Amino acid sequence: MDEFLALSSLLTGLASLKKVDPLSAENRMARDYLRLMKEQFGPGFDALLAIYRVAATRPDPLSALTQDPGFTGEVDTAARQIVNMWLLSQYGGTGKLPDQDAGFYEKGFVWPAIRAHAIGFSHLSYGYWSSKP
Amino acid sequence: MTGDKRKSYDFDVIIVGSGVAGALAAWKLSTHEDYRILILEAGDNGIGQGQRAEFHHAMDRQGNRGDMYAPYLELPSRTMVPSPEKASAAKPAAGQPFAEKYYDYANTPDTFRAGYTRLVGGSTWAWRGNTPRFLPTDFRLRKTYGVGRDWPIDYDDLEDYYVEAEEELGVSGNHEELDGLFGARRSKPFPMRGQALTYSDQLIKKRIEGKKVGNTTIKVTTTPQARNSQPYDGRPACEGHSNCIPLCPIGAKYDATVHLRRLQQKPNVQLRSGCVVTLLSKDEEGRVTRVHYKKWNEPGMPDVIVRAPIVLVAAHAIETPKLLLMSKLANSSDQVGRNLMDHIQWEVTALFEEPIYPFRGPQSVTAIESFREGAFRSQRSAFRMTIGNDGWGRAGSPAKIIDGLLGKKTYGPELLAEASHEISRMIRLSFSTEMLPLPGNRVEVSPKVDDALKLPRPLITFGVDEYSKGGLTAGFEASKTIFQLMNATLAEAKAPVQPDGTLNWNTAAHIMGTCIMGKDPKDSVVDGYGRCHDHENLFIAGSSVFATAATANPTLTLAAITLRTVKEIHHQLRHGGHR
Repeated sequence: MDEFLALSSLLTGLASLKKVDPLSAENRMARDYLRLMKEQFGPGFDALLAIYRVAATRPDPLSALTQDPGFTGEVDTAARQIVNMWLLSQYGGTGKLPDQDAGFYEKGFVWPAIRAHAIGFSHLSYGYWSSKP
Repeated sequence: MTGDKRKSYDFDVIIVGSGVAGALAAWKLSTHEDYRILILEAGDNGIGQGQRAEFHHAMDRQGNRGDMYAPYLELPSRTMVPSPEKASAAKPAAGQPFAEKYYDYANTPDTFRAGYTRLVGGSTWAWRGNTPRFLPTDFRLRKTYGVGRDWPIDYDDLEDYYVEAEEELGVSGNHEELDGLFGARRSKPFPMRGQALTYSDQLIKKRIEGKKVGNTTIKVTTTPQARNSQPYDGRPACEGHSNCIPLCPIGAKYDATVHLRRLQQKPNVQLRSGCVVTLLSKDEEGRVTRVHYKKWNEPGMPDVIVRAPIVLVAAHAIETPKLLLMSKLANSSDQVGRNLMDHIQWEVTALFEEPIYPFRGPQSVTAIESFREGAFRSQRSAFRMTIGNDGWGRAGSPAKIIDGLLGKKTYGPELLAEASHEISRMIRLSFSTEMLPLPGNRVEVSPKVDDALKLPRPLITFGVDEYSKGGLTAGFEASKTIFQLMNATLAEAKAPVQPDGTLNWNTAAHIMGTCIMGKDPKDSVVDGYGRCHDHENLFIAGSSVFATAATANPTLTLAAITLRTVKEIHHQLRHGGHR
């Protein structure tokens, strides 16, 4: 789990994923996302982890990971899936597997980054959209 | 018609379809008199908050947002009464299969890309809610510009009904912005003020208001929309879920369930869902009083016949002509199914100089109405332009932007920084053009009877006319100029009409014109009241009766016409015959 979180943090740039409270929503998300990665993208995910373990020891782990010659095909797909899960709570969209809900759509990290709410899930009142967020 | 005579029938009025036309007609009729009304609906979903919540949760699975069918894919009715779910796909290369499994095509120049839903409540579950009125010249296009057709009714015939429709649907809008627009007088203010402008609207308006595109002065106005700007009719004000299509999760946007829920309080009105009408037939007196339907959600799928002195078909502009053609009725003019129209639409996208923060609030609040009228209409289509608040709309969701960045191997802190920088500046202009009613664009009955109920599919022949293409090109050029005026950087500016003649276009999913209204029974299907020329007790409601498409979204106009039709039905039931 810790390794998955560290890899997730590296790929997404979300520093908060480096250390996650065991009782937090992020921990539940990580557990589910890790399970989905193993179930749906097992070989690519394993290969990605193998590259990551080496890259993590380098001075610039992200460059080492994404510029590794093995970061292609199934490995590239696995990396994209991890990002899509954390940002959009979505996986699939690969042709073989249509877009799937990863279970935490409203908590996707893209929404606060663009200063919006998850599309379809406002918790605000009429007219909030008139002001600069 | 005497009360005794009416009582010999099962109902006073049978309505086919429970979308906005059918539901509004039933409601209004029930307020005129305590009529015995039966609404037959092919779909079989609920109309309460529980159903809305279920649809809302299903949206988590829709992937790239904006698919009008996404919340409704798990309904059993989807397999029993299919709808055109992939209709928006372009025509495939020769020899390749069409994506759409419901529409059938033979020798068609193009695909017909407009879809609709077969639900209790109709396609209003998934509409955007925009409700501009038509212009006076839209009703006399031939007389004014020598093209298209003229309606048998005029703007002034409808004005009172427009007011009534705005009250029934709950339309927010700013009277002073639109009163007198190209001669379209308004006799009464909207029932509530227009939607609050988005942050992006305010920035954009500041940059382009009053500036010129050619000879046209830009005026940014708040689009009238059936979306509450304050609590109205027992429904809340909009909370800006940014999801009008495919579903308003809180019911701030009008949909036909509003009227269907009201009708639940009327003991003499029945709504039967899961009932696909398969045939209309005449009685011994030659009147179209028998409605045959199949109840697919009961064991054995029984076939049932019900009778009424008035039958109103309100099954939208594909199912309505299909049913008439299957029934071999109302077609002495050979116009049933012909003159199929849509609003041919295109989008141009750009990046604003500074963040404008889309995806907050309704998907679109403002429009530029300035291009809807002019002498050019004798040569090419006018267009109506909307300003989006949903990024690049169909062209680019947040998911698509992220996917693009990942494709360039952008990971780590740069990923969200770049995504945010791009997404927060996304802006789109969309423009909808007017199609002319052409007899060759049509719906027929397919020989393929391969749906779950062994009913024929609609066979479509469709092509975009030169008139619309002229409007598309004009809209494209105007959009580019407007983006220049606001100092935005064009993102994707693919010309809709390419030099080699190939065409890029989207559907507005505004299906119109297949049971066209006219004075002459020889070249139209219904009269100005929606009554079939061939059968005085058979009425049609909905955008299928439109004689021209205009550039305004059709729902308010179809609602106004429906209210006029209802008044005539009431008169006919009371006094017999027609005026």
